[in-house]
Amino acid sequence: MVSLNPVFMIPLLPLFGAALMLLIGKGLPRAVVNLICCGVMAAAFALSLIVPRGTFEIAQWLPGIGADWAFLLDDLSVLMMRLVTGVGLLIHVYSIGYMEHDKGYYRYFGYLNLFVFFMLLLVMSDNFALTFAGWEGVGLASYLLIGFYFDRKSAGDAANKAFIVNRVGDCGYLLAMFAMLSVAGSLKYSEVFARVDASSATLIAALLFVAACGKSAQFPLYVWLPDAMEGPTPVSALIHAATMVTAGIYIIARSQAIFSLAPDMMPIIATLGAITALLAATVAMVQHDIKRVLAYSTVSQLGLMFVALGVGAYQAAVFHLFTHAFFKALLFLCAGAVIHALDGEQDMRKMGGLRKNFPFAFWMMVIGTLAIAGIPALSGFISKDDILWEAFRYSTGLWVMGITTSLLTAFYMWRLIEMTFLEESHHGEPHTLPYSMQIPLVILAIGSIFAGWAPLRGPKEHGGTLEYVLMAAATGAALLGIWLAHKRINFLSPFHFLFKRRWYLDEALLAVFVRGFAQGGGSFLAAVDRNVIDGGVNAAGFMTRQFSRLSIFWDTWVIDGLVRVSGLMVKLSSYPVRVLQTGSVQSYALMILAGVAIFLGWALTK
Amino acid sequence: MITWLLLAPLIGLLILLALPARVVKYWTTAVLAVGPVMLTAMYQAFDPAGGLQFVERAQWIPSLGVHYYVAADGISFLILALTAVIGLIAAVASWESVTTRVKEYYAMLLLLQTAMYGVFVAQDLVLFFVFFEFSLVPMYFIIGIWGGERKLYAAIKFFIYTFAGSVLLLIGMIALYFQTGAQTFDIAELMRGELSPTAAQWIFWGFLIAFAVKIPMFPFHTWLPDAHTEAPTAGSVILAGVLLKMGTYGLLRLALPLLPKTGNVEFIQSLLVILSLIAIIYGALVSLMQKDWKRLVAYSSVSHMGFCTLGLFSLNEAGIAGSVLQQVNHGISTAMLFLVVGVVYDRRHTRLISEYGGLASVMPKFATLFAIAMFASMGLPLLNGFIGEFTILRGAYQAKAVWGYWAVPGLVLGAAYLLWLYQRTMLGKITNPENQSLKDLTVREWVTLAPLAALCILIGVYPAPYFRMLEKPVAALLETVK
Repeated sequence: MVSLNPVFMIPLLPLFGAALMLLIGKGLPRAVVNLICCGVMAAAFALSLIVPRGTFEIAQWLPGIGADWAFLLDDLSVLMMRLVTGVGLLIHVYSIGYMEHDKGYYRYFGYLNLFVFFMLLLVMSDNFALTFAGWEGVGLASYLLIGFYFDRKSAGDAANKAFIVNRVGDCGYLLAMFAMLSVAGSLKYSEVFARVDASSATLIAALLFVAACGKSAQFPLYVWLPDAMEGPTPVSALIHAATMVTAGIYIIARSQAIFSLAPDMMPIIATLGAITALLAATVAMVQHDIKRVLAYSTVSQLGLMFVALGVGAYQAAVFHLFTHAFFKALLFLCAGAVIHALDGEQDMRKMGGLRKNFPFAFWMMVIGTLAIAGIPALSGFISKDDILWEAFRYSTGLWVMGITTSLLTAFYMWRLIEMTFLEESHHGEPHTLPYSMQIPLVILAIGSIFAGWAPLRGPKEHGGTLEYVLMAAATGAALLGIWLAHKRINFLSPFHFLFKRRWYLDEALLAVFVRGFAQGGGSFLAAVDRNVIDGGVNAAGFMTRQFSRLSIFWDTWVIDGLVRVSGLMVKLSSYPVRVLQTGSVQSYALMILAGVAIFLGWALTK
Repeated sequence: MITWLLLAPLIGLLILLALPARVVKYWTTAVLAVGPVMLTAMYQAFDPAGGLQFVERAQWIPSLGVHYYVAADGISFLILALTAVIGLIAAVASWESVTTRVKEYYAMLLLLQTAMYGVFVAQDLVLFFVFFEFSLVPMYFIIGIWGGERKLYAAIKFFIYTFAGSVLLLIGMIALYFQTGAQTFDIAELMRGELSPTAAQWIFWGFLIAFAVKIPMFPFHTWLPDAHTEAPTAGSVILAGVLLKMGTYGLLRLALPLLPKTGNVEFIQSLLVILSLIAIIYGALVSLMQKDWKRLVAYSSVSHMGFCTLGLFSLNEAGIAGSVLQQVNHGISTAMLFLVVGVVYDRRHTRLISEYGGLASVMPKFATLFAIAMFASMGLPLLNGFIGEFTILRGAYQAKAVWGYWAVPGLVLGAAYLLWLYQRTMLGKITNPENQSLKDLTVREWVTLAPLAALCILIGVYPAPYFRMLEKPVAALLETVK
C-alpha cells in the first residue's frame, strides 16, 4: 500500500498539518494547533530515523523526462531529512512560546509545516525537477514567513526582495535543467549523472552554481538574506540559517558528478565563496541589530561551505552544513529569547547586562558563539578545520581568506556577547522563558558541542605537523578575535564606512536592476506603447477618419458637385424656355397674339 | 454530441427571451453548466490515443464544398473544457455586477459561448470563419454597453482592430481555396493541398496577422489593455480566458501547417520567436509600471501569450504541447486575476492600485485566493502555470538554446510585477479609511474563485493526463509542419 509506506508519510505529514491549519486552523484552539503541528513534525522525525534506503516511485509528474513523483533516499538525503525534521521539530516547539501572543498563530504554524513539506521534497526527490518544486516551494514558504507581519511595510519589501532575488537564481536552475535535458534527455539524478560529459558539464555546473548563489545567499545575490530577518526569529533560525539556505550546498553536493567534470568552475566557486565569507564577516562587524549580525554570519558561513565545495571537499561542506545547523539555530533562538524577553527589542545598543538577570540565555549564547568562533573540540571548530585544511591544500590564498574570516567571526560574535550580555544594562527587567523555549535551546546547545563528533567526516589526507600548525593558527585567530572584541578594539575602523553601507552592493543592485532596468525600462516602454505603438493604431484610426472626411468632401463637392452642376446646366439652359412657360393662359394668349401679329407683319411686308 | 454542445446555449437563449428579467441570470448559469457536464460525459468516451473524435458532418453549401463539419482532438478538447468552465464562471461573476439591460447581457453571454465552442471544433474553414467572426459581435456589445468609462473607445478599437485582421483571414481563406484547387473547405484537405511558395507565403502572412491581432502578438497588442480594462469583469474573464486562445489556436491549425510550404521556415520562425520574446519581456516591463490594477493584469497577458507563441514557433513537441497547456493555464490563472479585480471593483468602484493597500487584514479569504492566482500565474511549480511555462521553455531551449536564455528573465519580471501589485494592494496597513470596512468574499464570489484555484493545484500536481491528451494531436501537427 502506497499510503502506508513510511517514506511517503514523511513529507505528507507536514503537508497535512499545513493544509489543516490553512483551511480550518482559525477555529482551532491553540493546544490543538500545537498538538497537530508539533505532532506531525515529531512523527516525521521519528520516521526519518528509521527510513530504508532506496528509490521510491509514486506517480508521474512531467511525463517523458524522468521528472516524476519519486524519492531517492541515500546517505545525503537521509541526513538532510533528519536535520530538517529534527531541527524543525525543535523550532516548532520553541515557537509555541515565542508566538504565544500572536493572533496569526495558526497561520504561522501552517506556513512552518508547509516549509518543512517543501524542504523534504527538495532533499528527497530523485530528480532535478521535483527538487526544483521543493526549491521554489521553500522560496514560497520563506516569502510567506518573511512577510508574516504583513502590516509592516519593511516585511513586505523584504519578502518581495527575497523571492525576486531567488528567482534570479532559479532561472539558472531552469536553464541547467534544459541543458541537462539536451544532453541526457532526463532529469533523473542517476541518468543525468551517468550521461553528462565533460563538454556539457561546465555549462550545467555554472548554471547550477547561479541557482545555488540565489538560494544559499552568495555574492552578489546574498542581499536578500539580511532583509529576510523581518520574519519571526524562529523562522530565521529554521529557514534562513539551518535548512533552506543550505539547499544550494545540497544541490552542488548532490551533483558532484557534474561538478567533478567541470574543473574550470571549481576555482570560481571557491573564490566567490571566500569573497562572500569575508565580505559578509566585515559587514557583520558593524551591525547593531542582533539578528542582522547573525544573518551576515550565516552568509559568511555559507561562503565557507562554498569554499569547501569549490576545492572538491563535498563531504566537508556537508559536514559544516550539519554542525552549522546546530550552532546557528542555537544562536538565532538565543537571540529570539533575548528579543522575546525584552518585548521585541532587537537593537544591541539598547541591551546589555543581560548576563546577570538572564544567565540561561547568556550561557547558551556563549556555547553557540564559541562553537561558531572555532574553539577547539566544539562542533564548529572540527568542521571548519576540515574546510580550512582542504582549502590550504588547494591554495594558500584561500586559506588566508578563510582564517581571516575566522578571526572576524570570533570578533563580531564576541562583540555581540559583549553588547548584549556584558555591558551595562539599558533596559528593564526581562521576562522569563517558558520551558517550551528552554528545552530546544538546551538540545541545540548539546548538538553545538558534540555534533562535530558525528561520523560524517570525509576521508582525509593528513598532513602531520603542518596540520597541527594550521589548527593552532585557526585557534589563535579565534582567540585573537575574541580578545579584540573583549577589549573593544575597533580594528579596520578606516573601512567601517564601507562595512556600514554593506559595500554599497544593495544600492548598486537597486540602482541598476530595479530603478534602472525594471522601473526605468518599464516606464519607457509604457510610454512607447502609449505614444508610438498605440500612436500608430490611433493614427491609423485618425487617418481613416480624415480619409472618410475627404471622401465626404469629394462626394459633396466633386461627385455630387458634378451632378449638381449638370443639373444647374440644364436649369440654366432651360431658363429661357422656363421664363416662357409661366402657366398663365392670358400670357399664352398674349404670346399667340404677338406671334400671329409678327407672322402677319412679316408676311405682309414680304 | 458536439452539435448539442453548440446548440445548448442557443436553445437556452430562445427560452431566455420568454423569461422574466429577474430569473435570467439563474437560467443562463444553468444553461452554461450544461457545457462542463457534457464535456465530462464526453471525456469518458474520449480516446487520448485517437485523433479527431465526435465527428459530425453535413453538407452546407455543396457548390463550394462547404460543410458543417465539427470534431475534436486532444487540443480542441482541452480548450473546450477551458471554455466551458470559464463561460460558466463568467456568468456567475456577473450576477451582482450587471444590473442594467440584464436580459440582453445574458443573451450575449449565451451567443458568445456557442461562438467560442464553435471555433474550437470547426473542421471546415468557412465554418471556422463564421464562428471566429461571430464571437466578435457579442463581445463588442458586452464591452460597449456594460463596460467602464472609456467603453466605446475600447469596444470600437477592439472590433475594428480584430475585424481588420479578419479581412486578411477571409482573403487568405479564399486564396487558399483557389490556389490549392481543393474544391473543399475541409481544413485538413486544404492544409494538405499543393501551393507555390509565393502563394503559401502570402496566405501564411495573411493568417498570421489575423491571428497575431487576436492573440495579441507584439506589436499588435495595444487593443488588449483597453478592451480588457474597460470590459465588465465577466468580459475580461472571457477575453483573457478564451478569446485570446482563438488566435493561438488559429495559428496552430491554420498557419503552422502552411509554414513548410513557404520554403522560408527558418527566417519566419526566428522572426516570430523574436517577436514572442519581445512580448514576454516587454509585456512584463510595461505591466510593472501600471497604476491601474486591471491594466496591469491585462498587460501580463501580453507577456504570457508571448510564452504561448514562443512555444508554438519552437516547432517541436515540447514547445507546442507546452503552448497548449499554457493557453489553458493562462486561461485559468488570468481569469482568476480578473475576478480578483472584479471583487474589489464591485466594492470600491475604482481600479487604481493606490486606492488600495492592506486589504489582507480585512479580507483574508480574498487574500489567500489572490495569492494562489498570483503564484499560479508566475509559474510556481506544483501550480498549473509552471507546467506550461516549463514545457514551453524546454521546447524553446531545445530549438535554440539562446531562445531559452532570453525567455527566462520573463519569469523574474513576472514575479516582480505580481508581487509588487500584491504588496501594494494587500499588504501593509490600511491607509485608506474606505477600505477599513470592506467585506471579505461572499459565497458567490468564493464559488467563482475556489474551483479555479483547485484546478491550479490539480493541474500543477498531476498534469500527466493532459500531456497524454496532447501527445497524439501534437505529433500529427508536427507531421504536417515538418
